[in-house]
Amino acid sequence: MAADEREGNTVKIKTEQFGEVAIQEEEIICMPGGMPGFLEHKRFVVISREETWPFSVYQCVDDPELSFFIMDPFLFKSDYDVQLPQAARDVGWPKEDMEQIKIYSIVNTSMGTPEKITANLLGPLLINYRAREAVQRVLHNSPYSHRHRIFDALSQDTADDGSASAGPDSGLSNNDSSSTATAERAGRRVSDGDRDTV
Amino acid sequence: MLVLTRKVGERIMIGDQVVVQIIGANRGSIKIGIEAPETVPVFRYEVYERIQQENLRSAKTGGALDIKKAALVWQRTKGKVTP
Repeated sequence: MAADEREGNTVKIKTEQFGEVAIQEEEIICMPGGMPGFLEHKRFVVISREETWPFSVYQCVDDPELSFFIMDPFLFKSDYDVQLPQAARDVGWPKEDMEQIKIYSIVNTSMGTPEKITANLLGPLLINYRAREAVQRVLHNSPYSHRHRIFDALSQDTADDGSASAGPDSGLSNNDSSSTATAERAGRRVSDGDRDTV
Repeated sequence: MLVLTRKVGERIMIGDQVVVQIIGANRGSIKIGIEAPETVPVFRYEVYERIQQENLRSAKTGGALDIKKAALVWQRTKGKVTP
């Protein structure tokens, strides 16, 4: 059974969240390298509905069972900085595309209650609507957490076992032990051939 | 996995654009320098692994959470922004 049927440039895709959905072929976003954990999944669409706002569904076109919930991270972190110009350069997107690049966070809802939802600020999803391409950018030198609680401004991080972390590391919000964080900073001082990795 | 033994100062070439140099070694840790084009991301493995794990956990595999309910909680708590 084909995952999609074509009529002109309208494509019907099957989604877990909304059943069968008709989309325009032009809405399909390509991820040339897939994303970590899903390297072979390369075609997605963003499905936004009033009743799920601020969450949208990032649905894999070729696999109805694969989708993510995404949201605008600036709704809970207005000073979020993904160093977009550098990211665009690294991915090969021209300056002219900048205004059409939107930043999203993939949210983790696996803990089962809305209040515990976390957003992955360490790996933002960058969607270039002009080029119809997307990448998940890894901000490995940033202080951002892969599990930033979207509902709680005070306790920012959730440890991998689901417990909230507070204390010295919450400033770094990266769940790294301080020795790893030191290594991060020391690593940037490598002398010969050093470059600013983003 | 290809395993090579290098002395401090020696280098490894990966493809024709990536050079790895052993900068220093000290009791169980080594300092590595990497030259690669900007288009080739380079990061600590555990950071990549963290992203990968989080993606796997975040991928929808059947309703752990009713997203409409979560949306209502957001709208109640944070208000609604008209785009």
